[in-house]
Amino acid sequence: MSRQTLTIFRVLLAEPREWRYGYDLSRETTLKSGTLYPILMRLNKRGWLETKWTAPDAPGRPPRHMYRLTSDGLRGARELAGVGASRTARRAAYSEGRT
Amino acid sequence: MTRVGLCRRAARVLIAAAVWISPANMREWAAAMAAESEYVDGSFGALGWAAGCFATALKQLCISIVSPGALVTETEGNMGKFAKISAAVLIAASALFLFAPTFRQGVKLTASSWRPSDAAWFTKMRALGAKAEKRSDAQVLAFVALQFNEDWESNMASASANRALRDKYADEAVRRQPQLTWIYYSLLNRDCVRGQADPKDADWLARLQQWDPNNAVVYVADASYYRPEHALGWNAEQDRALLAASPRWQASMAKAFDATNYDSYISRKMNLDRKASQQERLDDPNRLLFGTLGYRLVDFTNLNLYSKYFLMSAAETAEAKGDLRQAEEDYGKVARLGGRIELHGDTDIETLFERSAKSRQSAHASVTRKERQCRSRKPSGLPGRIAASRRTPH
Repeated sequence: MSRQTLTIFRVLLAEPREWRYGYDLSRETTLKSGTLYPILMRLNKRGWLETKWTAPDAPGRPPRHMYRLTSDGLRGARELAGVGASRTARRAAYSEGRT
Repeated sequence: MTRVGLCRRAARVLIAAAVWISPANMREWAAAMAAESEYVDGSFGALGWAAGCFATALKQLCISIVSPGALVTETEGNMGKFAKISAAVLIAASALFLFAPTFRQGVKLTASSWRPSDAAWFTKMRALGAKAEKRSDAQVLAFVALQFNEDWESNMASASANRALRDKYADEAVRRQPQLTWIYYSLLNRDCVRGQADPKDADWLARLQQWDPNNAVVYVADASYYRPEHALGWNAEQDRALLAASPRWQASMAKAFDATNYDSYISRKMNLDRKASQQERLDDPNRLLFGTLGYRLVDFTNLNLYSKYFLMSAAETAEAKGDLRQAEEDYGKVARLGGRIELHGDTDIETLFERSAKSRQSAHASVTRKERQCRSRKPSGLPGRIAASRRTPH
């Protein structure tokens, strides 16, 4: 699992029942659209991410695509985010030990 | 238009392109990316967003081409540093192949099959013709003239201009070097439809006959202009009737079978192509291969029709009547031409005719044997009288 995917999980896990827009996710994770969307597509294909279209909030603007984790996605994301977090902690400890 | 407006416009164009190139299974995601781009703050931000969307769509398009049905890869796209360096090194190493002339030629050959027309080649030929004219290089002029003869793709205007250059360079080459007169044979119109022949054909054939009067091939080419359209060797009765009513065709074919030499000029053209290509560094194998289509083959329908319906038929009749001398002469003409083709033919098609002539040669051999037996016997009866008449000096 890539670092970028784990970052997206962390953002989505912050408010798991909320629907999120692509641009919001991009801003929060600081991922570019070319990185973000392939990950979202992959998660959707795996059944971890659900999507829906919503009506535009203002006239003349297009409808938006929204995302949130499915129950499988929540379970998997929590597990992987935990593994990722412990790995990060281990790396940090290793770096501290070297210095 | 301001720079901001331009960026927003470019972003829209990129997004539209991304939607357009997206594979069918990815259309919803493409639409999602496109819609989201309208909410991105700032024109430069929108352009960056659109570029990312386009890259994603392009990647999915490539995946759909390489592996249809696997639109979203299951593997993670995060390449390790080692993998990235390895890929870069391999790409750089592959690029080194471009330094090898053979590899460049291969790439050029592959790319040339996508070229819609031969315009570039004929432009090059025009320049080469002008250069050869200045240098008085007859061989290169002949080569260029033959190249223009193979222009089957140009539009009417450029084809007409190329034909005019072909005629000019051919005449110039032959004027400077009369040994190149054979090039007229390759320039002759292949359709050979009477009344629709190239106006130059008659002149070229006359020059060929004058230059190489003992070559059977030249007379076979001449006969092609007089062969009735429907005489194709499929219907014996019809062919006989049609050909019997065509004295010009018969006269030319009689000359072909009486000729003492056979040269289809293929080896000469091959040598000219090779020499000119090497001299002028024309290293386009595709074009040179295409040039082999310009090798004019001998019209074997003429040879088959004349040998079958005239010579062999006449020989069989003469043999049945006991006129072995006449029979030997007619069988002999076919066998002798077969022998010449065997000696001087350049192609497999010529071998086919030569084999068929050889089978006729066996009939000729049996008649010769019979005649020799007649000569050795005391003259009596019809064969004896023939043998006796042969021994009588003319």
